[in-house]
Amino acid sequence: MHELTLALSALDIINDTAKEHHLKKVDQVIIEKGMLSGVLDDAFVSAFTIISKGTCAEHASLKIMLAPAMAWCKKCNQEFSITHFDKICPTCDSTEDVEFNPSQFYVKSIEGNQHEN
Amino acid sequence: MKIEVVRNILESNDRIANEVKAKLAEKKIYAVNLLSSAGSGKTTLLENLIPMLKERFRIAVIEGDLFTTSDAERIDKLDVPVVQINTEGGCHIDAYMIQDALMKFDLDAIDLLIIENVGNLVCPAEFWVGEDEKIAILTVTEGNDKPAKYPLIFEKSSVVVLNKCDLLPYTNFSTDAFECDIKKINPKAKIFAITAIERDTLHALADYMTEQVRNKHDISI
Repeated sequence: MHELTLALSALDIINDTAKEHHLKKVDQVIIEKGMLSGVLDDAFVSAFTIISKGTCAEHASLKIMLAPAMAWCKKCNQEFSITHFDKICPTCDSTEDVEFNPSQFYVKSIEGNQHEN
Repeated sequence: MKIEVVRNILESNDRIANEVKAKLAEKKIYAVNLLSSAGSGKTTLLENLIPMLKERFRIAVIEGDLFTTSDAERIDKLDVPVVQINTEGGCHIDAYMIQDALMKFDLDAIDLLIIENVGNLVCPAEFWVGEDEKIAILTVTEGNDKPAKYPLIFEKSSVVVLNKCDLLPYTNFSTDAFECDIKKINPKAKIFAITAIERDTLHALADYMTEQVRNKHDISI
């Protein structure tokens, strides 16, 4: 259910960017989410469809791209991808020195038009 | 026309959370965000922990609830300042709500701020509200598989409290499997096994929180 809050924040970012670049209409939005972000695509898209009514992004198509969840081993100075929350560095087998931020959820790009049509 | 943006969708929440953090640092208030599923004993824990802690320092509570004020009324009886946030069906507390709630307190008269989040093992973990640490509560009746099933909350919490341990003989909860899963998800997490209604079991947790409050008081400028 927190997808509604995320959709509101995403819409703010899209509206800000559209305004800054004088876009009248946004046709496509690319969202990138980390594999372990826990965001439900369907819930996010439904929420976005409702709240974007009457804005420049009303008819935009949303593409949600899945990105690998990336963790960082401080000991080995190495980045690696993980598929579960048990974060084990492939080089040193440590879990203690591994840092991971699951909240990977970005507006990557928007595509639109500076004219109405 | 394509425009590269690359902005984190949680950034507006995090910006406000940073403002809350700065305010708490200025006032030397140590803040914890209490997370768990509904019915795990968050309010019961506070009812038993606060009388032990309020002799040591000044406490305030923010109570998150979908609709009712019943939890806030229970805390009010402990004679500590309490502010109710009703999320009106919303599944989590965000940083904006905490920023608003802080305006209702005298921040010069608080050492420890406890935020009792909405009962939900999923969504509240996504939203940092400016707190110093998250404390997750799990009960033995929920089952030892919950950290593996709901990893985010346990990944983000530096303290995991296992509650209702008096019921251990009546469940198939495996403490070994639970500790093993927590170690995989969050090796640095501190685990406290308690029974919230038995104050004798709360001393280690109370001492830990006392130390954290004192550290914050000493290092904040």
